[in-house]
Amino acid sequence: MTQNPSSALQSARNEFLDELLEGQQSLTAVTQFAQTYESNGSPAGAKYYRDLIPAAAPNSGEQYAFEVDLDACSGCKACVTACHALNGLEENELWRNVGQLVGGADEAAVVQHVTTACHHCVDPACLSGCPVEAYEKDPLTGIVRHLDDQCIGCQYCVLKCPYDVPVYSKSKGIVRKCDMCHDRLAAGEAPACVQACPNQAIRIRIVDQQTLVDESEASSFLPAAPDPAYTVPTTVYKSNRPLPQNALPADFFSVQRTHGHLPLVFMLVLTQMSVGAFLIEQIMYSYFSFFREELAASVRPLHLFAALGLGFLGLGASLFHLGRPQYAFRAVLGLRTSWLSREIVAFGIFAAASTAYVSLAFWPYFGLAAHDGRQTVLGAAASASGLLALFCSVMVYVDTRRPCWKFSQTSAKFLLTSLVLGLPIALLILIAGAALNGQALHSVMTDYGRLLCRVLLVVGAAKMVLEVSELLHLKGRQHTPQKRRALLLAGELGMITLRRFFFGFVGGVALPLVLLAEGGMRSGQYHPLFVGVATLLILVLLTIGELHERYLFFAASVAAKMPGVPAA
Amino acid sequence: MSTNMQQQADAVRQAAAKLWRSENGPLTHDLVQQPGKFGLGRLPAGKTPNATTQMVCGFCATGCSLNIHLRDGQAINLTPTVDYPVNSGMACPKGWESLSVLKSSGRGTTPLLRNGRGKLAPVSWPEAMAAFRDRLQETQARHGVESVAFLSTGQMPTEEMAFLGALAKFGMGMVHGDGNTRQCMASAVVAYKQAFGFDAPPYTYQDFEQSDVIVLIGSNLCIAHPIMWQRVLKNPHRPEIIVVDPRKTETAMAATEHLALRPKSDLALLYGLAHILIAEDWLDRKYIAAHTSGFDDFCAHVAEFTPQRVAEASGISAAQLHRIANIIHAGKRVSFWWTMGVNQSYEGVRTAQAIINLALMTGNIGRAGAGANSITGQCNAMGSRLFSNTTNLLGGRDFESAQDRGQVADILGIDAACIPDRPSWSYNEILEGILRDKIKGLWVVCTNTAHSWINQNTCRDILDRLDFLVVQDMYSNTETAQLADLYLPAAGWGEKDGTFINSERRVGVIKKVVRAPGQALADFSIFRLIAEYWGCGRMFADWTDPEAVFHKLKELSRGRPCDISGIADYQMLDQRGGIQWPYPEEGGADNDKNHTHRRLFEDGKFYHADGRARFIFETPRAMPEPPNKRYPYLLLTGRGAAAQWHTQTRTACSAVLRELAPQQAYVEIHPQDARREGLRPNQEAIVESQRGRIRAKVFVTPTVQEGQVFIPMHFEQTNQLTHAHFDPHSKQPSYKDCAVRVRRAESWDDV
Repeated sequence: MTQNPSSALQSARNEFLDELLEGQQSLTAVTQFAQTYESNGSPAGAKYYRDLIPAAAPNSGEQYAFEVDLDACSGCKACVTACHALNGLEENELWRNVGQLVGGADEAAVVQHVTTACHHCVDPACLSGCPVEAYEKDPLTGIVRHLDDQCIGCQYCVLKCPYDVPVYSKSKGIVRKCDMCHDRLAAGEAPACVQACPNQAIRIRIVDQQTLVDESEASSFLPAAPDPAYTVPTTVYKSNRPLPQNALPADFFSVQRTHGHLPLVFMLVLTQMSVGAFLIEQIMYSYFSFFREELAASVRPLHLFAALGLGFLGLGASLFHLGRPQYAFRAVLGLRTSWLSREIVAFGIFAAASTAYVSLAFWPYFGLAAHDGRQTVLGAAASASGLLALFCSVMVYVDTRRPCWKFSQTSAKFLLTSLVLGLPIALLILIAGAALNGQALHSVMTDYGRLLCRVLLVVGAAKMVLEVSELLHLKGRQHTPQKRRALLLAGELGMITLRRFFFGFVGGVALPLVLLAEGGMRSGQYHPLFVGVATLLILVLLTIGELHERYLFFAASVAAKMPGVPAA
Repeated sequence: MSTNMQQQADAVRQAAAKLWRSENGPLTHDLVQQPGKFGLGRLPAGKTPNATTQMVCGFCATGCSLNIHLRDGQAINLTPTVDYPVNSGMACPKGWESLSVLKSSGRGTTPLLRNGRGKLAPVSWPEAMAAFRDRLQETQARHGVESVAFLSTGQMPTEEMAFLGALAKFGMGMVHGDGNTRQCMASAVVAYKQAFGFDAPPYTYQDFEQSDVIVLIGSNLCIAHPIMWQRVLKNPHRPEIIVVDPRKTETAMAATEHLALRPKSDLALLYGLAHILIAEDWLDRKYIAAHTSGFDDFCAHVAEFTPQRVAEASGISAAQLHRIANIIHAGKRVSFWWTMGVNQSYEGVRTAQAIINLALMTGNIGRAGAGANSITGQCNAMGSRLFSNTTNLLGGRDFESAQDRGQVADILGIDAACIPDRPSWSYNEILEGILRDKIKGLWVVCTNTAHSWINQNTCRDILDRLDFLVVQDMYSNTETAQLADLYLPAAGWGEKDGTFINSERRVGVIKKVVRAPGQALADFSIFRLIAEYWGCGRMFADWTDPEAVFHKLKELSRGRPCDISGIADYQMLDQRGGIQWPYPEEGGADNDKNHTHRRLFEDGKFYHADGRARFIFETPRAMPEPPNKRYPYLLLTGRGAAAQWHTQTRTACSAVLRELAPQQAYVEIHPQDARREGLRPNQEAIVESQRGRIRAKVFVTPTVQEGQVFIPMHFEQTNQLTHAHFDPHSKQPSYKDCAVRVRRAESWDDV
């Protein structure tokens, strides 16, 4: 058979192409280079790092620490990539990073690169904050190790560490961090970063813990780094050319938003709403006869059920925050040191007490006799445990020492949220009760609703004044954390801030004023349905507003970190 | 209770305890290490290799060796090679991340052809090859064979460069082709050629460790060449480190003397130093007499560069100049090093030669710890300089010499008439050729012109005028590939074999340890395919694989200064830890004894016919676009972070490298200037030149001088500002001097 010459050419070319494509996929380096590489034997690089690791283990009262020679750190960042490659980290996971300090003037201008990882603190905040005891400070080496399988992924250590060290992995549902290549040191090998520094700027040395504690008082750790007195970091930064007085982190004037933690936003707002509802309920039924006598039978269970439901919804939301919620029960382990443990336990008690309390309120429905004495005790217990849990919530954030989460500010915010959201629930219940009991709405409103509205107005306005006051820091000359927060609130997060105040104003000020208006309620001009819808709107808008506020609480919380290191 | 029940109870208790506390499980195992064997130390259990192999890094010209961890022949990780004469167990972040940049959604997996709707659409290789042939041959038929040109690179193995150069010029009839090495090395090449008689950087990295005075001019070694800086820090002689740079760079900060001169006053400053050395008679007169020519004329030339005059021009005081001259005089082993601060200048050649002159007049050349040493940029710029067949005929020969053409024709077994009798246009001349309708088809291989070329807006406009633009690259998402009419997907470093030549003339191998994505092919294979389709397949019938071409290169180098005929094969390069040229076959025993570190000119013999080095000089010129009333600041460009490489085509593909580099373009400005312009740190600013307008974050720092601003070159927008002017001898673009203004960005700014 004769072939068309051009098609013969084409098929020859196709064959050639196939050969090339096939050849491209065959890996030949091993067979082509017959050189035999020793398959065993000790690490060949040991000769470069032998002097960079201690020859003996630390004595008691001593521990291993990183020592960084700042004069030798040229900012090449090989340490970061080596740590990543030799520890087999996830694609975006960095356990080491390099920051930058800039200062001086003209002739004496200084750019100082600062390599940094976990400081294996004497008093690690990650460890004390962990609710499940997933951190341990190795008794022999002092290395702060994270027990990956013990972790529930609550990320509280991320908030607690002033150096932004623990890294959360979404895919794994846990945090991980530098362990100073614990295994390598145990085998007489240097940590990856020590091995990889071309200039031998990083070494492992033995430090005396008490000396570090004493020295931490003098803040001699590193200029522009977080106060060492808090956790007593052990890394030693040494230099023969002292940094200029005006040295600032290279990113000093940039502001970075922090994680918004949506599940926590919902958890905090809903649980505080619940606590608020229980509190208001206690007050209303204790002091107002209308509630005690006429509404008790009809809407009280509804009121209580709503309060309870919100609480459980909030606690449920918190599970979405956890990387591994199936192990959440471990959280009682850290009770001794961790405010997060305490918060979780306190909410457990609150859940139990309030459930019991609410159940009791339903007894009459099942033909059981209402038990006033127990009601009172359980009601008080529910409210008290709710307040305790709320206090623990406050402390969870206060204990991170973030300057924007100071006790006064945080406790005021959380408590006011309780009231701001608890009051409209009571108002709604009042209206519902009036309707169910066939009472004239305007008389109920005149007797009780107006009071609730007034209190709501005051509380709502107070909360917004508190939040607006944070923006006053914009005028500050210094770039304090508070000013950074204000810059975020007014800048990058500006739209959210605006929405927050819109919802807060309409729900907490404008609508209550409408309900309070002369000639509206009192003269009975408002249609009952209008009043009901307005009240519902107040509740919804305020809830949305508080959710916004709480998002901003997190997203503009301005975390501490090592100077000039990009935030994780 | 039976034991069985007891056991069950224990098991339940244990399980319960584990639920409560779990210190050992899959998450813990994820990070567990095992001895890596192969001399590697401990490695993550999931990443222990069953073989290793070494190859040279594919980023910069330092030429570090990377030890590739293989599992079943496939690369899974790497560490720097411990016993390699270049990097002794260290690498910079780019080297560490070499493998991860290969995995990227930006990789080309199939040829792409611009279709009727103007979109790049996937086509088969045969379709792509037919389009390549038909469109380019049509262009040549209509506008002449010279109307198609190529742009090559310093990033491919030498064998591929030689193939490209030979295929384009001998097989396809092209006359004009140049490489991106024009942007980094051309000035050094011309400086060496004119001064030494051949393009021959004379040093070995050991010189960093042996000097007692190290002079770095226009070089931020810490950031641009971290592993060379390692060698400086290993120097046991407590060397004086003199850094000449307008900016207070990391390197300047580590120096013992920093000369923060005015930009582009370097030539005057170097002549000023020569003036003092002559005036004080701090010369090696014996060396000058025996091995150089033109010194007297040079003396006359520098006579007018008095310290006072130079101080005025450079801003460096006469006293400091004198002190530096004295340090050079007092040094026993003085080495001079330069990089882009010198090369990327409109008078880069003469500046480099002014450095060479200092070395010659003080006898600091051909000795340990001495030399006038140009540090190269790209991993294979040195290979390109010898074998890219662009400016020079293969092997550093001359296209205009019939004898040279005859030699090449004989060695390659081709007709000498196929070889053009004149050198190529340079990069800028090719682009100008497009403007003048002389060039209608362009084949861009392994470089990113639309990002890196000076005065970018004009450059892109020029590329748009082509009838047919072919881009052959690993990545289909480069700025240039986006402009292409035809895109050819290439395999990259790690996916193919070949050799690189590093900055100290060391030839090293690269190997195929990763499978290329999709239908990507090694550039070498693409050239074979093109030869076949073009109809010149027979000319390249024995160019079957890179090593076969390597043997041709050996023959092409035989008897020339860059003689590598003594290198048996890739295997020998692999076993020796690279071999520096020259390595002639005839050298025999001497080769073996000295193979690890060798420097040139130890015998004082240079490559000019008379064996003497030349003093070459010229009167400095003012920069063409100094700061002025409308554009009051001088824009400097350069390297940003060690984690960034050139146009970031590759480095942006690594999550780690992205983390380690600034995400956004920024402009460094002095605090006084920032105050004057009302700029606050971290604010958005608009930087404008006559040619373009870009947005950048303000970084206030005293490391730049007043009246100057600095923007790293890695950001795409930077070259919108730069002013296209060139060294007249080397045609290298002068990237580091143009006038700009800076102001706060307003919300209505549209950039």
